Amino acid sequence: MMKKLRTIVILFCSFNITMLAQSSIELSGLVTDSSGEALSHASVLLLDAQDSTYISFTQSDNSGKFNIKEKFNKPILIKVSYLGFFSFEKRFDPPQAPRIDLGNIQLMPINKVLFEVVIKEAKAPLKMRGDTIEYDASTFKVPVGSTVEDLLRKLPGIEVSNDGSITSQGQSVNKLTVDGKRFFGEDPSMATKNLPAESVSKVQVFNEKSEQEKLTGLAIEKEQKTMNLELKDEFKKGGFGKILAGLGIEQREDFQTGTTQEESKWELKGNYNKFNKKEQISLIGVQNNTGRNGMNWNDYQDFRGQQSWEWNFAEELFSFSQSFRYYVGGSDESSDEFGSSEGYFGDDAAGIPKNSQAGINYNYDYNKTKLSGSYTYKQNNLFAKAIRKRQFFLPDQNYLTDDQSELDRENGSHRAELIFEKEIDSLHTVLFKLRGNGIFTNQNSRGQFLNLSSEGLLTSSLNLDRNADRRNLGWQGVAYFKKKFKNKRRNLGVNFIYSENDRETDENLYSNNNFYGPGGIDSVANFDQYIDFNTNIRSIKSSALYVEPLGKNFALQFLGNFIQRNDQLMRDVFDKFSDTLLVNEDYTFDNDHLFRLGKVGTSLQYGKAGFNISGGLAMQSIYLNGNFRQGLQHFSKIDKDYLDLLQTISINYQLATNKRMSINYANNVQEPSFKNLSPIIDNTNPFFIRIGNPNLDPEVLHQISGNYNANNQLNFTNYNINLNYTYYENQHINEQSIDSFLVSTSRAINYKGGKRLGTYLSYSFPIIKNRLTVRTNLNYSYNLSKSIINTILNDSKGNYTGLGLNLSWTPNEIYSIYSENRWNFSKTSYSIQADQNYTIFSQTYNLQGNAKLIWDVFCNVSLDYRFYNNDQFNVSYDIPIVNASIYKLFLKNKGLELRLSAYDLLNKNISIQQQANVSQISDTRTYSLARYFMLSLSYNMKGIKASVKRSNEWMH
Amino acid sequence: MGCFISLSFLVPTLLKAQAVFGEVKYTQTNDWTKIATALPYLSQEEKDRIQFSWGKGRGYSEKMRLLFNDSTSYYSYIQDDKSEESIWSYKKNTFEINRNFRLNKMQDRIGLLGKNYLVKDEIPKRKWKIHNEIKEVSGYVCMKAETYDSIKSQRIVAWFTDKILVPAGPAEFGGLPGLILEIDINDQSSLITAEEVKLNTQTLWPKSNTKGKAIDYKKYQSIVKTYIADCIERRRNPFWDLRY
Repeated sequence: MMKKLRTIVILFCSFNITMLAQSSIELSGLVTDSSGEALSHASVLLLDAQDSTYISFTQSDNSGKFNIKEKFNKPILIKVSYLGFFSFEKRFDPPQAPRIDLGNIQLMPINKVLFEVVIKEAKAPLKMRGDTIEYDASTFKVPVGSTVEDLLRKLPGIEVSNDGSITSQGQSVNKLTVDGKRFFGEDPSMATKNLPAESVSKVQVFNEKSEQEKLTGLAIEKEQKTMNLELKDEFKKGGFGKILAGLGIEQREDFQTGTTQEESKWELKGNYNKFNKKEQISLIGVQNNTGRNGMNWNDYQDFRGQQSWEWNFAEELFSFSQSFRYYVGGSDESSDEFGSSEGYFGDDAAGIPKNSQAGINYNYDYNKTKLSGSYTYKQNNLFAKAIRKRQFFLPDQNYLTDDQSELDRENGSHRAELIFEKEIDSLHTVLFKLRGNGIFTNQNSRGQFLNLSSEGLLTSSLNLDRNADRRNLGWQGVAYFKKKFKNKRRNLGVNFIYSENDRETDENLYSNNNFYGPGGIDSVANFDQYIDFNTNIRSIKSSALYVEPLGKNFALQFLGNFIQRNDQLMRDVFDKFSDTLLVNEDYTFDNDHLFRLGKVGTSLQYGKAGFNISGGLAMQSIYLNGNFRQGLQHFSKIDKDYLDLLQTISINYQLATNKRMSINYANNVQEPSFKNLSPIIDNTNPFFIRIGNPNLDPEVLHQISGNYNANNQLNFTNYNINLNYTYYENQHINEQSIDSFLVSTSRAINYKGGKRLGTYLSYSFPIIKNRLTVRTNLNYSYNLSKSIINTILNDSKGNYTGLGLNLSWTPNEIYSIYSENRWNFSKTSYSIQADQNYTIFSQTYNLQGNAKLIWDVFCNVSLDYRFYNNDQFNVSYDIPIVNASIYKLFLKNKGLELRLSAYDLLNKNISIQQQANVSQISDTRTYSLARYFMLSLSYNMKGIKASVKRSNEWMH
Repeated sequence: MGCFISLSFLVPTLLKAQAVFGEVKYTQTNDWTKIATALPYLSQEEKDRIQFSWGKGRGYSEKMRLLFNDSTSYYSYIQDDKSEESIWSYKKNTFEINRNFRLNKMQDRIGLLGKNYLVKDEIPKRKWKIHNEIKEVSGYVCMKAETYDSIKSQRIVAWFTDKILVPAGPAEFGGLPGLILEIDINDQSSLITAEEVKLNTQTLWPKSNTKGKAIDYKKYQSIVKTYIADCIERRRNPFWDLRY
């Protein structure tokens, strides 16, 4: 044994070859306890006296003696330690004698009670630093509301008498500090009786002069002790925030009338967050009439704090592809908007917006309990004016439309959310959510819609004036329960979601329809109506997932889903007469829908060495029941049920830590919508009449996808290949018939053979590492869609090819240039009327430059150039947009910024939307914000780090 | 385990009489909030935002195992293709630390940035400072030592016990007069703690695997150093790819 030890000792000594050639010195001594009993195997360490760097080591032998040889020429520290005793330290300057005998080193014992606590408790409730004893307060449980005094009574080695005086290891504590500072004078009980126990993280007890004693080398127990209470981080707070205000002017020209008007532009934005380890509170306010500087992802994170990264797992219905979860933030709005008219006015940037937003968020996270509450109010107003031209292709004729319209919308929404999550114990977690919203919208739209024959002759015209008031109230309750088991791979999750949404729309509609013949107006139809439309949707969703591991590499999943939804749609339409309202039998309806889905399934999963495969089977039963009433007399019913088998296979293989591939297959069955099934005729738009098809079967489709990704971190290169293919075994397609007045009547029917193929390749690589980077992508897609127009089958094929090329040039901290470019080529062809085939070629070039000038002045310029060409329509345009800004940073932390910005310097902005589908091409131009200049001042409490480089690396 | 504790306390000599070998299970927990907020290129606001929104509970922990005897040690994953919670299999970066402190040799297999390396060299020396503090880890009273890694900018605190006289430890740490039972990197940005210490249990050592590009320790360090510098310049967290 000693031989072995000696080798180790020699080894340790050999670690230190840094010592210069010095004479060797031998140190020896005898280690005993205070009664003189020899201590064998005590550790004897030689350290550099200046910084305690470890030099070498030995142990005392069975008789307590040790002997260590070392070469040194600077002061050293000898440290002798033994379990259960305070250690001994002594400093030596480079000695003259080759041999030093330290004599008998007596170690002082540590109180036995204390020592047993150190040894026996699983978690370290206390540690010793020299002669300081430090207790970890969190490991000693005291009831809620206890004072520090109650806590002290729990600490081993500490006693508190009735009058509040404290003794530690039999010696009285006569001084008490909090975070090293004296607390209300000399009396320790002032603090211990008043401070709550939960505010304390550590309790330290030490001799006041210990530092001085260190120098003498021997720790001598003193009669008097000092106690220090260290407070928890919760009591150390943080906060950050910023505020921005900008004012500007815009000159806008009306593209129809040519008149110019001036308008002032403003942007205001501010947020403030305050947080500690337990609580977070944030406030945000935004107002602008530019549509810019709204909430971005950073603001969302600042606002929601910890909640911004929480998975929305509780609201999802479990499915087999649990691994494909990802976060989608803030997109809960769309379902509440006016879907149909919104699309008409192009994207959100089109039109003249005016936005306000205010919100408050509170999060609490402590002791396995999370609570979060938030409220936001949003006001989005929009004025939009647009012209739209469309071209329709029919088997026997073509026609055109020429439309002009205006929209004036005010939309206010209130949203509130409350989340409570509790980890009951390490195996059980519950989560509850309660959400509510109230959305109030007023929308005014006016327009003139003209239909023309292919020769350009007017066939019909429509003048429309609508005013709608909508009130939407909804709430949702979510409950989620998760159970883990001793076998950590066994899991159970159950959720339950109830939602209810009530919507009421009151609308006044006036329309004037003229139909033209060869000699002028043929016939006239005018509507002056009041419409009261109420919908009520209630749904219950519930699902359960259980995972049972089978051995090391297999697991079995069991899954159940249940959904029941009741829709009530009541639309009362009245024709207005001078003194009375009369029910309009054609437009009035009252529908009740019941949708019920039940699904049970199982899947087997295998995973080993980066290879994963899973296959699942599920039975899905869908029941649809609809009661429809049209007018006052027409009643009809549908009653359908479908039973289908669903299959899914997924293969994932990680070839290396940075290379992975996947292949997935699933079939999907999509039930028909009630709208497509309903036997009632929808003639809301007199030119586009829709009728239902009660015999419609569900859509059946097969989807297969593949992906390969390789990422070379050494040279910052990344490849990605994606493929996906969908085949419709049974698809819902449009069957349309158009009469000579260009009134189209359509319904959905089942048809086989539609398909879609999509591919996407991307490759990014540096040309000069960290300076010049290239990102390219290539995508190609093909789709075949079918429709029937006036009894003739039309196959429409689309081919889309796109190429993207992005460059970033970041040579230094003085300037940077980014360029993003895209070329899109699309070709559409039809089986009937091949002369309507067309190709669109569009190009987008974007160049952005940032530079740092002198005196903390920065500038950036961006140029956005779009070219568009459609050969069939004979339309082409090019739009250059130039934005520029220059800003200077002030203050030491660069927190204050003064900025002058110019948007659309060339005054070219117009929103153009072009769309093409089976039988039509449309071109919409919307009146948008024109050139404006803005001067803004912003202040950031915590300052910023200005850089000309983009900070867009995901999650830093 | 309780048995070992009382043995080590009451009859320490009994242990000394036997050859030292055994197995230690460690848990390494990384606190990504702390790691990210230490990055030099972030502004104070960005750091606050990370702290504010990532919050608590973003730690990721991994189970590791150290096998040792009186001359060699081996440290790696307990399970190298899965987490404890799921059957889903993924490839972890190779991390097999093979040390022979009797011959002062290392032969570490390390997966670094998508490539496997075999780092063969003498065991690198760290400058440990010994502190006058003791703490209990997994039933052993440990002494504190501290060192600094200038390449990864890490202040490393080790807690070692002189009751197991082997200069081994978790990850690439060792060279102290006793087995390291806890490593604390940058104020608990990463914490490697022994959960279970089994002495004198015979464990089957894995077969020696020497697949990988052979390099020396200097080259290994230069790859890490270059990558960190590149990432900092790109304003990207190097520790998404590198072991912290």
